[in-house]
Amino acid sequence: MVAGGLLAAMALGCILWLVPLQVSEGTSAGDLPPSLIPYLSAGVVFLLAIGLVLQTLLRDTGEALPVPPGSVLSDLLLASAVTGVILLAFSKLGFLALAIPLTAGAMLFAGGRNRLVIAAVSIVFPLLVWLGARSIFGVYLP
Amino acid sequence: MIENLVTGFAAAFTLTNLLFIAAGILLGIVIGALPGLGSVTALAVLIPMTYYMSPVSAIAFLVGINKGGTSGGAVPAILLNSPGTPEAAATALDGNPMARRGEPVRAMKFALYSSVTGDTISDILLIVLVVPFAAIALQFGPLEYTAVLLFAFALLSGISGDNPLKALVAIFAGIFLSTIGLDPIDSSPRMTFGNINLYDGLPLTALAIGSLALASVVEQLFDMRRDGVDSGYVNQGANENRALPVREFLTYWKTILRSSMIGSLVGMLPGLGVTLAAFLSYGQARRASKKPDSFGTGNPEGIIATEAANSAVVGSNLVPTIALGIPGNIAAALLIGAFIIHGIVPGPFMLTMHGDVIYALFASMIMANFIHLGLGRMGISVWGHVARLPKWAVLPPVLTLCIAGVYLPGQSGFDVAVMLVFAVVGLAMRRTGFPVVCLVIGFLLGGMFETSLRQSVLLYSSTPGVVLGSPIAIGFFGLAVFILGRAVVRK
Repeated sequence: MVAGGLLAAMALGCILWLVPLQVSEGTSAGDLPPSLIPYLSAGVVFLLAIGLVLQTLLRDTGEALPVPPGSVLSDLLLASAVTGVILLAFSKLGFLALAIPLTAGAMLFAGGRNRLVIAAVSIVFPLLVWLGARSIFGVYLP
Repeated sequence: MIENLVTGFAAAFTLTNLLFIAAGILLGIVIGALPGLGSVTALAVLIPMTYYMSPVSAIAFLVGINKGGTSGGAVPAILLNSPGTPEAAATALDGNPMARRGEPVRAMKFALYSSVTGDTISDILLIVLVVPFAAIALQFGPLEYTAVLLFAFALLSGISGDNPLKALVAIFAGIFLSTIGLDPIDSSPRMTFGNINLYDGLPLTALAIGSLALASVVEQLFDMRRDGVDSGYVNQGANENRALPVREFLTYWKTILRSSMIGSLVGMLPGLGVTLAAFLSYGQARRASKKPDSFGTGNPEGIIATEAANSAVVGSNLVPTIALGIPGNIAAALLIGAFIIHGIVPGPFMLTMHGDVIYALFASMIMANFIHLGLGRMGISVWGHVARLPKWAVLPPVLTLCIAGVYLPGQSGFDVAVMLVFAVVGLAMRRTGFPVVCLVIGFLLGGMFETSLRQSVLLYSSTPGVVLGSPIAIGFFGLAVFILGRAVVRK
């Protein structure tokens, strides 16, 4: 129900704010306005999201989430935070300085405890990718 | 057609092309066999690598990955009872009991031979049917296209996930995202916030890699942290019976043929996936069997039925892709992205405008089946070891590969940012039961849907009665309404 409510709010935000502000209403001769499909698709998402909320309120759909709702929120918050860090590190520090700790950190996070494997994979793999990009594709990763 | 095919073989039968096919199949099998990864992840991650190849080599390489990945998925299903992909879940039903009975190599041989046979039958059907289908599609106007697209959306929402409402939300969210960028008709900017990177719209490759591959990897990392990893690996015994003579395999010819046809038919319908083909075929084989109770206990027919069917989808899903520009499933959607990267616009004009590439692709697909059989057979004892690699060591390097893969083609940090944002979106969708596949297909087909709908409204707004004169459009509209209504009522 929370997901349905959030979606409905986002779709409404698109209909009332994003599309009117960011899409031209002007129509060239003999054509429909460029805002037609954005309004139509956001409108359908809004109606369906309301439908989802009503469906949850009125009857049991028998659906089960893969993880408890609390975990969904914590996973998403953590993933968003890591995404921000990756973006920042990629632009400021470069590929290798990001990829090596990222690979090692992800291995530890997933339960890997073999230090030799973690060290070898997290150093050798990003290095191979970096060298491959440079020698095969002629692209210098930042 | 034969003449075109001969020309296609001449163009495709080069050492470079054969090496790219072999590399694609090898990567496909290995990535398909690796725990937690599958052919869709392999395709998504490796598409950017094809920017630097010729169109024929690039598409042949990707088709090789798709073919190899589909059969590679059977390895962890058989040896670990841990299907990496949903379609391989049906293979595990009989493959794992057969392996536990002491015949893991025979089970993998059954899977490989069935996979290659199903694939070959499907490729032949593709070559035979694509021209007449494209000829029919050439008669389609914008109204018919709108109807076919709505039918595809309805079909997709009816079978994706547990809730058709959620699937429809994902499809229309994808369509909404596809409108970001310049308007296709009057070129006015839409939702770009003045950012020049958005004028061409959101990059398909970054969106697909983020929401499909990266989100899947991140989700598994979270799951592993929460639940830990269980491994039920079946060792290949030294004294086991490994032989599977071709004559013995061919005694199951009825199952092979029936399953290949089921897979091919499912593949031709836009929106239907490999998983449906595998389970439909398994159920049909069980119903047709004289010993239905033996299914689930290690009956080779169970492996044959699922592997022949899911591999048969690979070739036939190119029928709607080439004839209409509408992908048969998510792998075909990714292939459409690759076609577009190489300047080939999928659709009925593809055969006339890029006939040389298409027939070279068909020839590559046939050759790929032989290479697949050879490589698969040679490496059968190696794949088991690949499948045994721990997930915690396999998944994190994919994060690195995704970042490099998305950055390489355009050398754009913006593309990396889009991929990361859609990885979080994909994770949120997976965790809340919204099918990510629907979002990607909605995004991919959004442009075509917008153009055909706007053209239809313009053409027929003054004379709406003309719509009744198109039986094709009425038929597809009717089917779309029926499928949607049925799905919603059943839920």
